[in-house]
Amino acid sequence: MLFIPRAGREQKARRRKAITQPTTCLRTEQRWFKCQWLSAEQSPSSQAWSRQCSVASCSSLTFPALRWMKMGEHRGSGLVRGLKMVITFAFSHLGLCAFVAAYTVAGAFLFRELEQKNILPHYDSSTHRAALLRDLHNITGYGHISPRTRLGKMVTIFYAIIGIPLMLLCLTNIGDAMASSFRFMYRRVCCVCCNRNQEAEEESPLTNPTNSSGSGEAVEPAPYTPPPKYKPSRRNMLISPPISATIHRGSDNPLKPPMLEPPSNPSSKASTPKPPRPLHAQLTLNDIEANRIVAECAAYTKTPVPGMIIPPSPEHSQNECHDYEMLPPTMHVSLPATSRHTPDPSTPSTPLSKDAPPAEWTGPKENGGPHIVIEEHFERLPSNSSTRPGSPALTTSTHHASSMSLAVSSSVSRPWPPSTPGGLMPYANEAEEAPQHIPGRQPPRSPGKTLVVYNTLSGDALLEQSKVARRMALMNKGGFGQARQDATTVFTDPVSGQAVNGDMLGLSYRPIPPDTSDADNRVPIPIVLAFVASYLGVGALLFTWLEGWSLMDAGYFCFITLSTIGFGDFVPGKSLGYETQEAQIKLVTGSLYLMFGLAVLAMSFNLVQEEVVIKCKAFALWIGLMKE
Amino acid sequence: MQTAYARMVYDRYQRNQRADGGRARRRATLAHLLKDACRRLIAFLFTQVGVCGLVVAYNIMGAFAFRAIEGDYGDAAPEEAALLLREDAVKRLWNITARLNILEQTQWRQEVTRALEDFQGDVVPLVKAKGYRGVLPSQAWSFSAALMYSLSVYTTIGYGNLTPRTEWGKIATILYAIVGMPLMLLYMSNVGEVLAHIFKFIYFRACSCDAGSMGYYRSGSGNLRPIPVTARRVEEPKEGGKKGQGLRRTVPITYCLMVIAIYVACGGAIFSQWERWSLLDACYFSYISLSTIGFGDLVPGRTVAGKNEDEEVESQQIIVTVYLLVGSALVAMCFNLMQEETIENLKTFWRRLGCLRKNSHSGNEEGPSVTGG
Repeated sequence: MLFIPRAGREQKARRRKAITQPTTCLRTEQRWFKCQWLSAEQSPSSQAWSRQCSVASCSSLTFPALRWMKMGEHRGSGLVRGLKMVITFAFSHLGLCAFVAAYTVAGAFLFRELEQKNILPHYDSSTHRAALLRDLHNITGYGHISPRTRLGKMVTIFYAIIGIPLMLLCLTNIGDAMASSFRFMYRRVCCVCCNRNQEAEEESPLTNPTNSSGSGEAVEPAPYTPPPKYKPSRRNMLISPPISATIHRGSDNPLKPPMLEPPSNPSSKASTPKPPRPLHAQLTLNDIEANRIVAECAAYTKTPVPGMIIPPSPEHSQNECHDYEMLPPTMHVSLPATSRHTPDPSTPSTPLSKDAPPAEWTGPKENGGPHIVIEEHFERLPSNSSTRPGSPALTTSTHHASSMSLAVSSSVSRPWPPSTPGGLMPYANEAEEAPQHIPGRQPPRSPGKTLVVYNTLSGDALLEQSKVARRMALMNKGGFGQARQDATTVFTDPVSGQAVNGDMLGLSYRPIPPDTSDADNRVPIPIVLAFVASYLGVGALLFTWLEGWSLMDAGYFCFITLSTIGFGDFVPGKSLGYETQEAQIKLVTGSLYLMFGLAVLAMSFNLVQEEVVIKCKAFALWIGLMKE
Repeated sequence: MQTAYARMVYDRYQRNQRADGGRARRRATLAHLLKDACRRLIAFLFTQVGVCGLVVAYNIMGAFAFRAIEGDYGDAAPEEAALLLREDAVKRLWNITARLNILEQTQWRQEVTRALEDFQGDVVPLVKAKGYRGVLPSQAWSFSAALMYSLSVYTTIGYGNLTPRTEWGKIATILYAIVGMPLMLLYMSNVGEVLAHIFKFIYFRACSCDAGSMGYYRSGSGNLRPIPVTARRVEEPKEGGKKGQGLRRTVPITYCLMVIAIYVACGGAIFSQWERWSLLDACYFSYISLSTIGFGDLVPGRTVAGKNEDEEVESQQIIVTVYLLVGSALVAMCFNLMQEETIENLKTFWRRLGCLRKNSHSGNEEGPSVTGG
């Protein structure tokens, strides 16, 4: 009887993990994120040790503990250290297996002693072996050996009370180890195939050509075209993309753009290495709305935004997902420290005001740092390439949660599979309103300010972020009662430069939790089922050969045994009695097959449980049991 | 105010979306109605009540199926072989008796002993290898016996006193198990969760602990209502949160074990009365069944024809089936309750060993291998 952990809450716990570096491809062109089991954000006392973790998977407690013990610093004296090492070993794979084996052997001797009187004389020599097997079969319960004495029955009860959870623990451990190795092998095999495919197709450079400083004309960055085979589907979306929404204040006077980093040629429009330029359309918001968005982003992610005082909310906690509406509705906005021009008296002077200089703030390290950038952009012709005052954040390379800046780098695998026309994210109405979607061509824009929010937030925070973006889209859509002529919002993935349907933000981009803690891919269910079925087939053939049963009978026996039903009508070696050497070899073979089969079952449970839970959730959503 | 406005906008947006769907639905065809009805039915089936009903229905269906496959069309070859053996033995005994003109005890006994030993030697392999039961399949596979058999399949107890002999029976068993075991797991998890909630409710009410600690609050009318999920805050359990120090958030393991022990004892008391087993034997049977080991050495009801043919055997077996189903749910409940306690104890244990780094609310102490990647 194997319990499957209540993965729903575990998944929720995992969603809150910080996201670390992306890893390489596993399944065709999809990029996955590897979630760190241990992270700065992780509070092991609350979410990770989910209340619904089953007894069987309590062994998963041992893994992090193991890592902590191995990699952490050891406090205490040498004796304590030694004790810790002993306990570590005891709970490792090897220790558990050895413990289970020792328990079995001890039980064998114990039951032999207890039941000796009841065995008929000619069974005497092999009682020991038979008792050993009875213990091994304790979980299945064959029944052809069972205790007769009162003491034997009572001892059986207590032996089972201790032994069954122990066995489950051991099985789960072994199942975890085997599952990870299975996944590893699957990934190797799969990547060999997909690497061959990828070499043929992928030609878009992931790295952008770096412009040498001083060149007048910037080279248009090559657009990122996704490999044509890629089809994003809902289940593959791991996290929301970094969202960049441009708030464009349409009628601003062109300002002389100050560079955020010392440029080689201040007047040139060239810039340092840039990713594919996101396609910005024009979204006109008034100052108040824009400031509110900035304030809310900042408030949510605890980014100190100069010029704004955000009242600290007591409910904010990194690990919690709070609703958008719970943010404080009013923000105190003050004048910025420096202003170039006279402030506009009609609107409060905020970072998004005309006169505020472009700025950039980064969130604290632990948040996985959202990076709010207010940039100047200036008029450009369609033929020009995208230029952007380089932000130092753009040059960093990894989506590293504990690094403060964002992860926009073309050299690393994209965090987000870009949308394809045929994929899940069709270009919606926004596409029609923003005429140019051809990468590389920029619509002519009047200068203004751009609010770009990059984030590397983890799961729920990303969801919130996308809700924020969604609000922006809603406001843009004329929800405030007035139609905006130039109201277009295109949310773009700043990495790929492809547009992303604003309607889908916050809804479809559901941060689906990644796989189990130390695996990067999910093995599809049919493969696991095929593996289990083949194991049954192998067992059937084995027992046909060993025992002389028919193939049907052998298969029936394997199934009944591995499902732990264990009728006992077919038992290997039974027909020959217990006294011959041959019979004992057969009994041992049968027991080994059983034990390995239980491990295989545990492994398959481990491999498919997340997929099964996801499918069940989808099913429950479909039938209306669960609401979104 | 702006937030409220945004919310209004969002609601309107959502209502627009839904309105579009409603307009389409008014033009719904019969197919849509049927699909909707099916969906509602399936949704009901997967609620707690539905799952219970589903399991019971599955059990009954299996009983009928196996009774037909194995009972009516069953394989009676071992019984026929046993019949032949018996007749041969009787003939042999008669020959012995007829041969000895003077009935002298010692010689007669010797010869008869040898004859009976041979008979025994022939019958025992028949029992062990061929599964000879002593009754014809149509008698052995009564409805209640098939009910117990189906139960033993999908709960993975697997008594083994009744096993399929025909090929179709074996295939049917495999398929029945493949479908039944996930169903059983679903049943156990669903009903176990509900029972765990009820038990926690009763426990916290009875011991007048802080009900808020487990997610309940007192509403205006004084009833205990669960705190809605969105408003719940995950709280850090206090260090060494035993009784009297911190808030008790989990039911102690001893109570869970007590519940199981009481249930096993009750079952033992009842079965010892019926089957005339000793109390220990009956408790042993209950325990072995509930833990799904299911040796099969002691099984209520008689599949082998005995001297006392009770009419109540059938009802007894049905009651045992119900007992085992309810018992499985209780076991699931206890597992559910014990997990939390076990995890908290383990956490405390690890923390005391200094292996865990304490993560407080405010700070973010990095775990040792945070950036290990």
